Amino acid sequence: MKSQKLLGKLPAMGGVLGAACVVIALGVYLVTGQFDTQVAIPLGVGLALLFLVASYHPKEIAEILRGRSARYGSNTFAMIVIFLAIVGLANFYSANHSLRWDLTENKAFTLSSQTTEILGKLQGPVKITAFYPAGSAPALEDLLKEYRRVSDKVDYQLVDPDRMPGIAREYNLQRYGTTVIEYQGKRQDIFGFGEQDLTSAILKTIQGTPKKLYFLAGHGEINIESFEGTGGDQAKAALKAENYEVATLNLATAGSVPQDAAVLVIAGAKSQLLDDETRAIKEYLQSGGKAFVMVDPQGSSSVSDILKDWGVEVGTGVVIDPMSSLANQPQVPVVMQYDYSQITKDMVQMTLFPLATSVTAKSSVPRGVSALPLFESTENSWLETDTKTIQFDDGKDARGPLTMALTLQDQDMGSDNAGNPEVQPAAGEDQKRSKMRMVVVGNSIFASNDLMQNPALGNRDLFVNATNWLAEEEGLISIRAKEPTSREILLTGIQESFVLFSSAIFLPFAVLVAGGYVWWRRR
Amino acid sequence: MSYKTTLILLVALVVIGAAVYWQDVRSGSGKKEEPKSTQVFTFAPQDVSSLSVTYDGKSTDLQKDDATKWSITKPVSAEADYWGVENMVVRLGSLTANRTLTGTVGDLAVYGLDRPIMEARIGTKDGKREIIIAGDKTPDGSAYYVKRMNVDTIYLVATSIISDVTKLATEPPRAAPTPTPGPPQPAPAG
Repeated sequence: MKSQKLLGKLPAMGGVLGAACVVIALGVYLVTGQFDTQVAIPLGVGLALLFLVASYHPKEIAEILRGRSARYGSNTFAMIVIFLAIVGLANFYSANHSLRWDLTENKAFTLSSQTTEILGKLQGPVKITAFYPAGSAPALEDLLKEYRRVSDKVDYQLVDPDRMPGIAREYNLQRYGTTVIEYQGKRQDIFGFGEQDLTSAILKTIQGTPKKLYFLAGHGEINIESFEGTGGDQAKAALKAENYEVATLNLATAGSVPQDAAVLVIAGAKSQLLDDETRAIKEYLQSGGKAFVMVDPQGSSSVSDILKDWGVEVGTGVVIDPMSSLANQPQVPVVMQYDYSQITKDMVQMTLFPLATSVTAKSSVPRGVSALPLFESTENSWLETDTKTIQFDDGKDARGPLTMALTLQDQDMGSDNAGNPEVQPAAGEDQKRSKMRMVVVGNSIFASNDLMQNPALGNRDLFVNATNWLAEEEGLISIRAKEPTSREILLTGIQESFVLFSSAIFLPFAVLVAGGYVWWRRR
Repeated sequence: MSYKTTLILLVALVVIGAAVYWQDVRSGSGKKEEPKSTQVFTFAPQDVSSLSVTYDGKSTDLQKDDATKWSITKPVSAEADYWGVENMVVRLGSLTANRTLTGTVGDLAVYGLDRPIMEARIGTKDGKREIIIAGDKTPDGSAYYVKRMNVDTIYLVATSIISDVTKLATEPPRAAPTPTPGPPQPAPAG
């Protein structure tokens, strides 16, 4: 009796087993992507079992197939298959044809205003040849398309050096991943493929010989060779990207500021300068030199003395700005509004000035020299002279707004030049161009690696814009391309488990339960 | 039960299918990925019966006499270094290309394959013969352009492997002479 019952159940068991075999075969095929014996055997066994079951009960099967539920089922099955086919085809189509919207915070996939301006200056065709194995640099290809879209003078080609070794040899290619920029007989090779790399290389071919910038060294200034957070490697790199040659200058040994100095940068001197050094800087400025001076609250009094000659007083305390500073750090002012000047006209990002001091233009500014502020702290700020207790002391601390950066320049080349970007020196005024220019910032930390490389901040743009203005490269003053922001989520073990169980297990299980419930109700 | 939804889905499928066909399949603009690495040969090393290499005007022919002996038949007749040759045959049998270039073999001169620097002929026991030629190095010098006779694919094979194969031509792999026992050395005095 029992064995008869078991025999009666065999077809049903065979059907379930056959269906399971087919599903297993399908699963293995989806995972491995290969139709081999691992797929063929369970598929064959499954189909054979299903065929056997069907042939054992042909009448019942035929009845089921003709039944109402079979019609419903087959229609649902057809709908599912068609829907999956549509999704698959749509995915394939969208992979080859795309529309682009740049929704990133930094507009990482939109060309910066600097690139647009530089491309606008092209006098002739610029040829960009990128040597990458086929399909290995889709981001670069997208970027080059954008360059081409902005300027029809940009002509580019992606060369697979393995496929086209002749072109690679013609260019004397040494390394894959090289991009060659050619413009009016000049050539620049770069190995990066970011917008800043490309734009800098184009700029170098346009400008030719780079101007030279000297960073004063020997008094505790920011070390432009240092990769540390407080170092200045990023400042150096940013200036090199703008086609400047950057060097350090030890005035004690050099004796004077070199003739080829486009700008002298004094980035936070901490100790006293020798008398000869002070004299050399004063002579340089008097003879129409350009200087970028960053001073700190406890900085070198020699530098303060130099600035005093030009009517600029360096504060003796730290700017405290509770209204516009990092959370719980009022000694780290955040600047979000800038005075209108050629340096800051495009600035929209905030800039940070940890432990800044004030730089105030006094009435003693020499005649013929204009002093214009670049930005100030808010009205609620003050210059804290006693940093042990951060509290405004009336009569002791100076109340805001406090100027944190300003420009100085000889007036006869257009006093409003920095303040008014519309006013440019007239043609033929080249001689007047050798007049003094100075940018004074009451902080040197703002140019350190930590703040320069933060894409959320505008410190880099401010630093480079100021240098460009000093070097009389006003055309380069703009907003630069930002490096892509790395957004990583670091999860703890518990968080990882939560993500795993909630998305990979709970949700599918919930769908399964809901489907089962609906099926049960409809049954 | 409505067949209307199924019909609408079917129409949508036909429209998208037609778009894909016309814009990607028919125009051939669909992305085709070339295989990243490929096995160059399919022969089994134990089936190899002869190996000849020509490079820089020099040739070496090797013949497998039996399962334990390889002989040099050209430029001289000599016993070959069995393990050295076997090792090379195994390496050739499992030779893998760093990259393959397909559909571009129209002008072999571009890759230096019209004037190959090296030719290797591999004979198997069943009388078949595989011939590969090596042309120029890739621009970065990491690989040679290699081609099998009668196969329309160019393989990029690591420079080190091709250099080792060419050594067979320039330095025929003679078997190391068996050391013959010399006269007994006198014991040191004292």
